[in-house]
Amino acid sequence: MTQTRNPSRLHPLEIEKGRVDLSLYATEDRKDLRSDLVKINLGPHHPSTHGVLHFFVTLDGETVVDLRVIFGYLHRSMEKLFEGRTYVGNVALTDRMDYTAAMLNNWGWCLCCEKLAGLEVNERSQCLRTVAGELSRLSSHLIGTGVFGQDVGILVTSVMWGFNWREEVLTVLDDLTGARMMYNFMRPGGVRADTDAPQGWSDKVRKVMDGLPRHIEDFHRLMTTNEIFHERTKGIGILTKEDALAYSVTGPTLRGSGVKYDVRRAHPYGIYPELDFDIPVGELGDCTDRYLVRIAEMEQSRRIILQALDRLDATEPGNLGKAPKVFKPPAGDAYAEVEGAKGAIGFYLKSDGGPEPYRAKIRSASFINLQALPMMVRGWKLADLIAIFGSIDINMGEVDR
Amino acid sequence: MTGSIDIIEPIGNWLRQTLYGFGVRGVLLDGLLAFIAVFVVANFALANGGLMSFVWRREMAVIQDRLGPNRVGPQGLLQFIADFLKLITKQAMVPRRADRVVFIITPAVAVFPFVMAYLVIPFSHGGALADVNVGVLYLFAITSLAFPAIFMAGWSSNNKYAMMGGMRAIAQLLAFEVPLTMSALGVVMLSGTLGTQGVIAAQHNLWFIFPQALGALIFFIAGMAENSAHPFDLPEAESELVAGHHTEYSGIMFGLFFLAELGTTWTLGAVFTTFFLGGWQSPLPFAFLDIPLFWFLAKSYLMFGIFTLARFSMPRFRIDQFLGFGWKILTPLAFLNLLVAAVEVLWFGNVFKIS
Amino acid sequence: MTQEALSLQVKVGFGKGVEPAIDKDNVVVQVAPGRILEFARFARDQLGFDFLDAITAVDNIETFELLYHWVSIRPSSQKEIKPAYPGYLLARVIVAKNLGSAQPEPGPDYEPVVPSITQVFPGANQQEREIFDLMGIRFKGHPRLERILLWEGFPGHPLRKDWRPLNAEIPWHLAGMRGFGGGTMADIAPEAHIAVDGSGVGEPIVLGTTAEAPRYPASRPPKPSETMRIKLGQGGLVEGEGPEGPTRQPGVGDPSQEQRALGSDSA
Repeated sequence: MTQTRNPSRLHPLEIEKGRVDLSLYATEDRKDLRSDLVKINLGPHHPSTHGVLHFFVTLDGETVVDLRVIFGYLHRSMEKLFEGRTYVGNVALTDRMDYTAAMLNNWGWCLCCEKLAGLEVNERSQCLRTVAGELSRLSSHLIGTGVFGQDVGILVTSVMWGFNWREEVLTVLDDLTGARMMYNFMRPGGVRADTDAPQGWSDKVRKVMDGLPRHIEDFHRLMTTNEIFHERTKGIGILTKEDALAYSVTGPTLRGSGVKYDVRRAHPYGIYPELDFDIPVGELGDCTDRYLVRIAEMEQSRRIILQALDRLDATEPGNLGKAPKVFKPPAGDAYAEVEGAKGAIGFYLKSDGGPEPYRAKIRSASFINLQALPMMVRGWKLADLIAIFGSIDINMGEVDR
Repeated sequence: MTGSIDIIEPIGNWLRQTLYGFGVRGVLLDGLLAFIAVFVVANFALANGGLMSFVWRREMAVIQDRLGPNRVGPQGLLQFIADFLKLITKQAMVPRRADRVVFIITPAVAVFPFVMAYLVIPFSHGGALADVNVGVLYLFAITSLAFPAIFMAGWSSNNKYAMMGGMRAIAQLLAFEVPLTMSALGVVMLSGTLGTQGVIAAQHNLWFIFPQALGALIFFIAGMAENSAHPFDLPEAESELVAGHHTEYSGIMFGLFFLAELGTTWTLGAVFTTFFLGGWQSPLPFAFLDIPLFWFLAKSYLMFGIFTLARFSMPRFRIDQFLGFGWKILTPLAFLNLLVAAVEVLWFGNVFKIS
Repeated sequence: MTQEALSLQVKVGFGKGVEPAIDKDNVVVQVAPGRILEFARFARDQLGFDFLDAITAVDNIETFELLYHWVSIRPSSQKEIKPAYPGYLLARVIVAKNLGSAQPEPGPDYEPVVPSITQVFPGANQQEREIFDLMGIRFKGHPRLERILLWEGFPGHPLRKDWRPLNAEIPWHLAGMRGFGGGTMADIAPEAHIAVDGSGVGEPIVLGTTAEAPRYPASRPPKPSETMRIKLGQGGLVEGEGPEGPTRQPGVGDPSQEQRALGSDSA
């Protein structure tokens, strides 16, 4: 009953990049059966497409023969909008990209601005950034794991739990920034001047972190140890290392395939070089591995947050460094990446000396991870398509920008 | 336990005497009584199905760490009436190219089987509407009318999702018909009769769930599969096919499908109670607590609660894994169970003989 | 591997005419457009840069510029997590807009052609489609080059600096398009900012490009027919709505039907 081999490797169809040679379906025995391929539209409105995403699936019975992904329903022309606002004003726009983990987008933007202008960020701001960023990562993974449970078939129990536990994280971030989801927290050179951590905030965060292991254990009890979950995710949707690198996949999807690449270690930024954390890696590259990598990353985020909080408490409150009010970087360009929740988020900024960017480009993780999906689902069943798509954890705000 | 405190018989007798006092005689009297009984039971079936939607939602909420509907009526008990009123007033749309006649009659076909199943389910000692001596056979015949409804819904909707849901439903229901009937056959062998009252009476010493534990388990699983209950709800897999075979249904037509699903789950619980949990028999030795109607309802609601618990804690199978499970694992186990039942009849038959 | 070693390797290995430079933590190589596929293959096979990070397109007014970022991960030699080279390998491809005497004035429909690197890096697939969609650079050899974020029939390539939408009444300057309909946020009429006493928005934003443009009273927001005139969902450009269309006539701020019809006759 378990399929541990990827049937698409054994599939007799000649697979060209993105296309399938349908003439191979006109073989003699198929003609006798008078069977045909079914073209079905999954979406754009669909409970499982994580936003507005349109799958155009070609099915042979229940088996997926071809998949065409059509998106752009959430395109807000962010790259054009960036050119009309100042660097500082654009931080609010970056929240809207991967809205489940908004702090990390902010961080990427600010990192690129700092690289462009050569700014330094002081210790307290770095610690606040780290704590906020990892809390955002937790928020995104809680949703991602919960919704993955729904995709596999648990009737929203995991979703409710994930969102419920995420409330604690959002409350804490609300105390810090005043907003639950669109924080607009960071600035090139530091953080927003009026959002220093209030008194007692780090104890609140510690309390939330104390509750996290129990939540992760609940996820394990609901999903990981469940036989049906195992049947639905083990060996399904295997993404090999070579394919993952060829398709530029990053994040938990890449790490689930066994490649230990994390931007926090590869191109270090902030105080990450001084923090002690592991990078969880899967082996096979199936849905179970990606799911387990996410859960392990939640635990690692907890470690990072606790260390950063200790460092935060050692700094002087109110000393957030100097984030320039008027930010006019010299002419030139820079590219910087951060490890977002879904993968590596990169920003390319080109400045012409003015207060607004000349060109701002976002390398978004979900947009690029989505490329690998048609290749990953070919040969699997329709139910597996949903499970595989849930396991790579796409956010449409990031895909469409 | 002989069911010493009965509720249904006194009421029946009182009714008969009242109507006799009004001058109703003979066939009219019997007919009127029968009509009243059927009326009460049918309404109970439908209203119970509706109430179960509320129970379902509250239980889902408890499992999911949130409140459920608790506004309408005391503790939210009237929520299902509010839902019903909403569904009735919604526009029931028929898609343009759908097969209109089939599309419209399918919800009725879906509701029909589980209401008809109440004919032979004994509510208490002497409380089955029609105690035919092929009750078990009748039950399986009538509940297997549920799957044409799903297929009709899927096919007539002119919708690929619905059609896929219908196709999956046929494969699934066909696959699990065999273990279901085989496991009930074990019970029938032990009781020596196909009549439902006889099955209950044969459990007066020991409820069948103990000697037929394997059979009970198989019946539980296969019953959930027959009912398209989660984790076997592939025909209506919400995350893949939106709503599967009832994607195109709206308004009261959808309401009837939903009612059919819940009602069938409860009926399944009632049938399980009849076969394996001793029906209306009381587990306690106290005579003053021996109200058969109460025990029957309590056990059925308990089974419904267990089905619902299973619903919200597990992921869903994939269709080919599931069909493989049905044919390759459950069916052989059901046959094994028949062997076990035969052995039990041979060696322990006296335990189940009706004295 | 240090930056110097990498740049030397590039220069020696790739041969004729590349001058790798070192810029912060990147090694930047200027590659001619026709040779980018060859360079991609060289980067993957010889240099070990097996991961394409991003492809960026920039519209410098006289040229287009494509930037390719690579990272060297090489998972087979995995004991530590650091890539073999700590920064990025960056290839800069300058695509001239001016083709000389053959096409002296590249218009908004001009779409330069660059070889696609999807054969070597399948991960370039969607990125190149996005660049085609938003910036209008065609990639030869791409398996399916079509619009990805915008719909088929969308007029033009919006990220270009010379992209002009068809509709002047929308405050495009808020979307960052300088020189068309106004400047930047600071140029918006002061009444449109939040009132300083915190009572909310003041006067609504002035629509239209001229001083004679009508000001809608605060109680009535403009109707869609008065502002939005891009017709959605139709293939190709809308007739008569180009630079000579009625909306570009100065003083024509009243968007009534008769004037619009009249305006389209007078070119």
